[in-house]
Order: sequence, then structure tokens, then C-alpha cells
Amino acid sequence: MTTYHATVIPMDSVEVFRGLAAQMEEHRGEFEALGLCDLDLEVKVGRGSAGPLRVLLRFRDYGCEDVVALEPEEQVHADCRLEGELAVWEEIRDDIVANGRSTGRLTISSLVLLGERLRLGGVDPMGVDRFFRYAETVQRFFDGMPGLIASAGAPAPAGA
Amino acid sequence: MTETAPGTMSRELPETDPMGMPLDWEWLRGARSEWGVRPKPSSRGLTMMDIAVGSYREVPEYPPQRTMAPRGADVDPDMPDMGYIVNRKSEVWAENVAELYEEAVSRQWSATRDIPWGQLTELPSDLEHAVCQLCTMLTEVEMIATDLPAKWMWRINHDFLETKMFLATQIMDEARHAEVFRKRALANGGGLLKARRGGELLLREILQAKSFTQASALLHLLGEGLILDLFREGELIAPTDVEKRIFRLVMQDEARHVAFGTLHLRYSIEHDPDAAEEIHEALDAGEEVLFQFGAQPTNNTAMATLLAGGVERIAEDGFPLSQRLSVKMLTSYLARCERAGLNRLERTKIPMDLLGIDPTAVEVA
Ligand SMILES: [Fe+2]
Ligand SMILES: [Fe+2]
Repeated sequence: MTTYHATVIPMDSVEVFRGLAAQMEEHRGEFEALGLCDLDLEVKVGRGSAGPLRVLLRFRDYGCEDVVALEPEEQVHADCRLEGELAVWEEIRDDIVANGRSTGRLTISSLVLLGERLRLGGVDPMGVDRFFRYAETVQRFFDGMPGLIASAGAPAPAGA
Repeated sequence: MTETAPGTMSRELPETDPMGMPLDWEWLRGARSEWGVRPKPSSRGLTMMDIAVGSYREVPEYPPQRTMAPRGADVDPDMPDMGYIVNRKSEVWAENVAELYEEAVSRQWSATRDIPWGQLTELPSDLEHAVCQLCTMLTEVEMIATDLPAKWMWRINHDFLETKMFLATQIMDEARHAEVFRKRALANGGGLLKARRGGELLLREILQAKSFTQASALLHLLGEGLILDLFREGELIAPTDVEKRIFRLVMQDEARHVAFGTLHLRYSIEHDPDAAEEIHEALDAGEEVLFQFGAQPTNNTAMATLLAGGVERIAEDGFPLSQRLSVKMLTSYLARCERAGLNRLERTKIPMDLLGIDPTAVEVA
């Protein structure tokens, strides 16, 4: 698994989401305690003129069984979609890294309720509601961020 | 038809027990039910969906009997009548009910163990009062969602087992919700605060629904749909990690209840030409009472105080944000109605213009 220094976890890299899926597997016991999760969640990270990063996260049972990088215009089935600019994803990252978990108004649920910087959408209200059925699992998935950080003294990965 | 157990036809089996009482070997010699279906466990284990195989997956539109005998068993023709009054599949069924039951069982949590109660910190007095007022109201309304399914369960034909099993999980969920909000009200130096007449009027309207489908419309779609959004607000305004965790966990349960109601109403509308009007009538009355409940100032001021982080900024921050979130809440409700196959836009009692709800947002929400 790729590891990073705290300040350079690139939130517009599919590898980060693969790393979070690996973290989920590593902490499977905690996710089993939360219960099964059956959710196809698209994450969209805006990068201005460079075009967004689109990733499909396929949560099944107690893990994220697939992390798929999507083409900019690719049509894909997702229950719902989380969408925000890179800056908000970096703010979420920094909060998790600093506190060990999302706090205050930087939790995924809080941000999408306000809907200004991070939006939750989808074509089917039932699909959007799936996000809420698994809200704790999704939040803990992102809270796995500190697990991606290289332990003290480890070299930063090439290019990081 | 079950197979006769090998060797039992040819073999002499005793016809009476040592006391001379007659013995029954029909279960061993071939009952009229299906035998040997061997469902395969999925990655999760053996689920209710996995065992919906062969004749066991068939749920009759009108069960032939009103008994507690398990669906698919070889049932005696002269069973006693259990007096069920809900005997039509479209009155109770939802296509996703087995999945939701499995999910409910899997995602249970404990208000005693899974909330980090030790991390509660002392809050400014206005915030603690606001949390306690919110918890008082929530403790009150949670139990409607135990009482209502319980009121209907014993009236529902036992062939609709999966629905009854799901409702049993809802009853457990709601007990836990009442528990967690009562615990939070008492846990941090505060206590229970005001219980108002408006809340009770709404609860009575829901409880007195005349059919299960009307009850489901009022409870699952209207009441719990709005409570789901209220829990989302709760997660946003949570002053500590304790409330964050509480609201995220209750949110998950609530979304499951709403998912059942949405697809039950859809099933009902698709299979019964009279269902849509029946649901509309329930929601006509329910929305009016709900609007009165929503307009009462007790809980609104508490919520606005939490949204503003205290009473000082309630006018600048609290009320405007509260108003914006209410619009979102009602938009989500109307979108779920559409998903259930129910066009409420023409008929809703919610003053859409006054609140500034955009009908086009309902269609795409
Ligand atoms: Fe509840
Ligand atoms: Fe509920």
C-alpha cells in the first residue's frame, strides 16, 4: 500500500481511495461491528480546468471490494454521488489527520447537509437515502486516512 | 412434496407408543411441502434472500388461511382462525423487505456500549438546555414508531412474515432511539424539558390511521422522513463527539425505516388502484397537523440555538439556517413521495410558495 506524509496525501488520486479500502480491510473487525454495507458511491473531486477525479467505491458486506477510476464522461450506476472541489476534500483530510476522525462541521454528513461545498446527489431518492443507511460506515472509511501516513522516519513515496 | 425418508416405508414403524397412544409418522413419510431446496449461503452467511428459493419464495396475494403456520409448511385444513384483518399482500409488502430485515439485524448497535459517553464535556448552559429540549421531544416521538408497528403486527397475516420480521426490528430500533435520547438528556447535567400539546396531536393522528398503508404513509414516509432529516441536522449541530455518534447511528436506522415505507407505498400503489387516494387522504391530514407541529416555537428555538452555537447569534445565524434546512427537509419528503409513485405536488398542504420550495427541485432531488 502506498503511504504518504501527512501533508501530501493527494485527495485527487485514486490510489488514496485504494489505500482507504485497504485500511478498511485491515480494520475489518470494526466494520463488521458496524454491520453490512451495500452501497455504490461515486466520489467526485473537482480540479478546475484539469477535470475532476471520479472514483466509484463499491462497498459490499464489510469492506470496499472495488475502487474504480472513472473516465470524465463515463456513465456508471451509482446509488449516489459525493461531489466537491479538491479544497474541501483537503480540508476533510486535514481535519481527520489532525484529530484522528472528522469533527464538527467537517463530517461528511454535516458537509452534505449544508450542501455548499460538498454535495450529495443521485438520480433516485432511494439511492441517496442509502448514504444515510450506511453513514457511519462511510464516515469511518474516510476516517481511515491516518493509516495512510508513513510512520515517522519513513521516506515519502516517489513524486510525493 | 417431500421425499419419504429412505427405508421408512418398508420398515415397520410402531403405530402406538408404549402407553398405547397413536403415533403420527406423516412428517417422516412425505408431507406436501417442498423438500431438498438446499439454498446456498452468500458471502454474508445464509440470508433471508438466500432461502427465498423454490416454493418458499412465493408470497401469496391472498393467503388461503389466517394461521401462524409457517408459509410453505404442509398445513392442516382445519387450523384455527387467528383473526388477521390484513390479508392482502399489497397492504403490507415491499420488494426490499428481506434485504432491509437483514440489514437491520446486521446494523444493530447499543446505546449503552457504542456511544462514547465518557467523552461528554460540560456545555454552555444555553446549549445544554437546547440539547435537552431536543432530546425531550425526540424521546417523546420515537415511541410512536414502536407503538404503531406493534398495533398492526398482530393484525397482519402471518404469510407476510418478512414484513412482520422487519417491523419487529423497527420496534427494537425505536426503543433504542428513545433510550439514547433519554440517556443523553440526563447524562450531562441537564434533564428532560418541555413536552408540548402540538407533538401529541401529531402522534395521535399517526396512531389513529385506519389501515396499515395509511399508517405507513404517515409514519414511514411523512414522520420518519422528516425525522431522518432532523437527525441529519442533529449530526451537524452536535456539540460533541457523543451527539455526533448518536445522530449518525439513529440516522442509519431511520433511513432504513423510510426505505421500507417508500417501497411499501410504491408496491401498494402499483398493485391496488385505490391505494393512491387512500395514501393521499392520510397525508392531507398528516401534513396539516405536521405543519402545526413544525410551526410550534419550542423545538424550533432549541434547534436554531444549536445551529447558531448559542442564543447570541440566533437571529443572524440560527433562524436563517433553520429555515434553509426546513426547505431541504420538505423537498426530500416530496421527492420520496414521487419515488413512491405519489404525486403530492398538486395536492400537498405544505405552503410551498410561502416556504420557497422549488417544485423542480422535488422532481430531481
Ligand atoms: Fe426512530
Ligand atoms: Fe424510525
